[in-house]
Amino acid sequence: MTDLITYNQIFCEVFSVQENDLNDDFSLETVEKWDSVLQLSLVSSIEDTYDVMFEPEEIMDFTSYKRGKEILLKFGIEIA
Amino acid sequence: MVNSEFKNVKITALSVAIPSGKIPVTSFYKDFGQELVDKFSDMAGVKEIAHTSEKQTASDLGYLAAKNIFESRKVQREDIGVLVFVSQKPDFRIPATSYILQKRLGLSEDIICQDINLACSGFVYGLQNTLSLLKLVPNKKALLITADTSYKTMSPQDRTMIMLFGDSGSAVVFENHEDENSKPFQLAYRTNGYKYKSIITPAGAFRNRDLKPINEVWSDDIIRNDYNTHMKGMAVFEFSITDVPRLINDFYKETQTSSAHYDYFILHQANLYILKQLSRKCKIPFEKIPVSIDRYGNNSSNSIPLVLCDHFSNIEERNLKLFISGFGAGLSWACGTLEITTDAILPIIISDEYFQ
Repeated sequence: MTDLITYNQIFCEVFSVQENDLNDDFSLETVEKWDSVLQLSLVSSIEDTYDVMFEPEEIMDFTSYKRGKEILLKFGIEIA
Repeated sequence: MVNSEFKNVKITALSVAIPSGKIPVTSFYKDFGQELVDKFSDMAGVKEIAHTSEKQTASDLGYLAAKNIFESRKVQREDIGVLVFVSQKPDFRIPATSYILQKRLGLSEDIICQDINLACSGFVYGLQNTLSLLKLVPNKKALLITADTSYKTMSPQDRTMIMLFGDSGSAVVFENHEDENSKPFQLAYRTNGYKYKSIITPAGAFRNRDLKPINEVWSDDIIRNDYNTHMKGMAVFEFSITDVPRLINDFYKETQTSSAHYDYFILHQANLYILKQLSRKCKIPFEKIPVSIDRYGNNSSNSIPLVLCDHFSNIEERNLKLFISGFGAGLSWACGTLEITTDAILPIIISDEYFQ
């Protein structure tokens, strides 16, 4: 198990939002400014912070706050 | 994949020209905000780019690079029997820009001139055409010019593209030679026109002649019109980190080589994150991938010659065994190997000169 605060901080910094804006619905579909630049910034920050390297399909699939947690779980990183 | 091989050819000289208009990405703070620009810069690796003035065209930059070769190396204009110009920003609809360049450079009538409409894969595809044509004129030399001014069709509000692309032009002279010990140039190509909309400028040619340049908010929340180039960022990213490494790895297999067989990997400077992904997917030590995107941005078909001039001019003479790869609009992607002596690589020149 790892720190939820760190995971949230990354999202807050990348998308310039407040922590209380984050929930399982926070995604490519619901966040207007979620574009390719911010998605790659997000994935790059997550990789650096948790010292993981995603496969291309995981990078493409990292399109929501909830899905990100599920992908990290595959690396044995539980965000809670 | 489609393969080709060219024996007994060598690069005589290589030159790159850029405009003086350097633009630090921090100058976009006022347009997009510091936070977004800094995030973009960290991810893409771009610190500054160079843009041409309104009047300077892609062919002006290519012309300057070629002129630099004629003036500083023992290459005679009358020896050029092939001229290939690769760009997505031609001077006119008619005629092809290579003919303008033939005139401006004072080349002979005994020459084959061709234009190729390609972007980031253009150097490798241009190499294929140039070397194929050189076979027709064995006693002559061939000139490949690649040049682009990508920003000229971009929406100034397109935060995903306007900070990424820089302008430049390159010229490379090739000649036949008799050294049987030299390694052949080996190239490989793939194309996916089914995804032609991934990078597109919808209007300005003959398909959508009735479209008006009306600025509207597109589905990606960016204001642009149909005369602006649109790139589906994530789709192109996915292509770059799946199809491109697949081609490179297939090439390794076909040629029974690995990254250990090459001194450097001169890769299209798409963005820094993509370069890191290619390093990983193709097992290339990152120190073998010279990076120029930080000071020049993504230079379309000129990425490969620009990296060479940026990193390997003005150094002690040595022979470099290089792996090259370009990928982009089309979609098209290509890779290959070539050898070059550093003595053939001229330093980058800076000029705002244009044809009047």
